[in-house]
Amino acid sequence: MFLNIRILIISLLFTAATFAQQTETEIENETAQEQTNLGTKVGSITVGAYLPIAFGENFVNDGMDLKTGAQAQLKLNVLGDFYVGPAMSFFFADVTNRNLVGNYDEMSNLVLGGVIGYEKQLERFDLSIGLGVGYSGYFNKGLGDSFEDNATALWLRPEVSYKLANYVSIYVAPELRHDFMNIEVPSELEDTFGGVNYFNIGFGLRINLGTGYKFQ
Amino acid sequence: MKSYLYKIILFTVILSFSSCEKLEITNNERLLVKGKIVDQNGNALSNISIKTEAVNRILAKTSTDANGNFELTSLNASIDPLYVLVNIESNFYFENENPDYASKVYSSEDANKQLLLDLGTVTLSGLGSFSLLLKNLPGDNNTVEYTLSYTSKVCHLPLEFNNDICEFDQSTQDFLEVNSQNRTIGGESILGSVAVFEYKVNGGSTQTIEIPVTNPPTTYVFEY
Repeated sequence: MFLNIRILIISLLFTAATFAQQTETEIENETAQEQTNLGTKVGSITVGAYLPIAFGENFVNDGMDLKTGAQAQLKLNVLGDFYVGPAMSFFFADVTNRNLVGNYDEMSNLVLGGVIGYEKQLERFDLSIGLGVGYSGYFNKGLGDSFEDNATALWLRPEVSYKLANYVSIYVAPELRHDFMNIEVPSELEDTFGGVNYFNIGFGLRINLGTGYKFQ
Repeated sequence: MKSYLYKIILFTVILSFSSCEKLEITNNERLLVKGKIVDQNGNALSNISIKTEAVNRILAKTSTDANGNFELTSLNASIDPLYVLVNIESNFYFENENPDYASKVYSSEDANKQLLLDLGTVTLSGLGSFSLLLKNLPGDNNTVEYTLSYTSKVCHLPLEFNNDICEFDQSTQDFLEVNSQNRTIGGESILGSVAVFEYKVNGGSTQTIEIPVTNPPTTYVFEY
């Protein structure tokens, strides 16, 4: 009986000590953050290169040679560390398997959409993850004509940026994207033309908007 | 030099005609064309070309595999008729790519609306020819009115219906006078088919002769 009470008292003391230590650490962190985050964080603009990499069984991966493109994104902080904003990207491709995709020469892809996400600053680093949705247009050229395939794009984009100066960072952002294609095909071609998977890599410059990004 | 000049002019004229009509490719659409090519004995034919075409532009092309099967993904024309060409260079030139076999051209009446074009088993017969010597016998003062009908080596079929039977699509008519010179008529056609020669002597009743298409050709003689 006495042993149980002793164990209970020791446990309570241990818990209290741990909690107190944790509270002290949080207060220290918050103070440190307040020191580095003086001012407001309006958002950021990222502009950079976009390396598209398709994967899986689909007409882009199996029938095209993808070329580098570019991407741009505006993040506006709306609620604490949460942000929203427009995003765009584009890249080019040459058709390599005309038996599979049809007899045309080249394609350029443009995505216009919106992103919602969360961002956290860790000293010189800004870490964020965003979920985007938008229109994806495949503009094809060949046989003296141009025609279009389109899709709804959905993507998940973590981003790591490193501050070079107060308002300028460099970033790298891998992106997992799926395009839900609107191409009408017979059921035999659904697997090939139903959707396209990408694991894309973006990197470039980031402009931080607001004095809250100032590093001290 | 002169023939070289003619070729340039001809090429320019063809080019200007072919570029007059603009191809409109349908957005957000791909077709699947598939089937199997066999000869008249049912044997699979490999390496036979298959193309889809609209406004004299190739939308997709492939060849049959060792088992005679083919499958190709094609673009579609939004306004103009779609052609599926089997063993033919182009809908513009009508030259058989494999000269040992006949060709088939499937065409939609208007713009094609089907996403799956399954041609099933397509039989490509060999090629043969026939000839008929129309011999005017001296002293027989006869006149002959005739019609010669046969199937050409390029068979035209509708894409909408699953039909693989080639109809007579070539026809020649003429009237032979009492003093007409001897002449030979004939043509290239599908091996094993027949050409039909219908004639009336001196305006009488219509008589019919079937002329087999063979390889090598057999020359028949019609005396009047």
